[in-house]
Amino acid sequence: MSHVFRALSDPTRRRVLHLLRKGPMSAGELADQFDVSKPTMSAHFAVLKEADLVHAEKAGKSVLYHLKLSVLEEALLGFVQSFGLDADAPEPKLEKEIAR
Amino acid sequence: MTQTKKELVGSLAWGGALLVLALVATLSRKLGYIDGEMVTRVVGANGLMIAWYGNRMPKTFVPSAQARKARRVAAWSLVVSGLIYAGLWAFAPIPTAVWGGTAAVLTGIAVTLGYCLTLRAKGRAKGKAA
Repeated sequence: MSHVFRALSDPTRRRVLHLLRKGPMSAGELADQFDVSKPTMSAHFAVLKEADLVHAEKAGKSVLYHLKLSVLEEALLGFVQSFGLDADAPEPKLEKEIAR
Repeated sequence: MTQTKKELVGSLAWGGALLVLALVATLSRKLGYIDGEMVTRVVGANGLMIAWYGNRMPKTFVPSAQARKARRVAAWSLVVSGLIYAGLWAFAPIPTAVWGGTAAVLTGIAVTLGYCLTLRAKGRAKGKAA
């Protein structure tokens, strides 16, 4: 359970889980949503995988990520998001570009 | 430990725990520590087991997106109905717990079944349109 709390403690990882709620996404697609380096994103994915919150599937050259949350984990994530604790999350690239 | 082994160990642990709980409750009644109603309330542990299985359900990866959606709804239905069942058996009068608990679990099953049928109807409609 400590792995889960560690994974959910970071706003970037919470945003990744939020994006995966819409459906599976490749590592590249997810990385494009953030203004952080690819190695940093890989580290975030590793933490999520270690906590068993995502399922990684090889699709050709890319890796496809699926959400893998238990009911309790989903409720925890929803609880954190409903209290606006994602305010410190890095802005997705697209939103930044639109703002400019 | 593989996922299948984990599931098996978890299920055996639940089965064992329920048996031990029932035996301890019976023994406690014979020794005069608890009354007969308290022994009957042990049934509520089944609700906790339903909730536990529901909670773990989305953890098993299934390739189909439709199946994942159905599993998510089934999981939430099981967790909510299991907790209501356990709560009623813990605190409500026995007749209310019997009817209310059963109704909660049946409602959970009906919600899941209804959602699955809706998904199937949507899938068929898409297939006809294409």
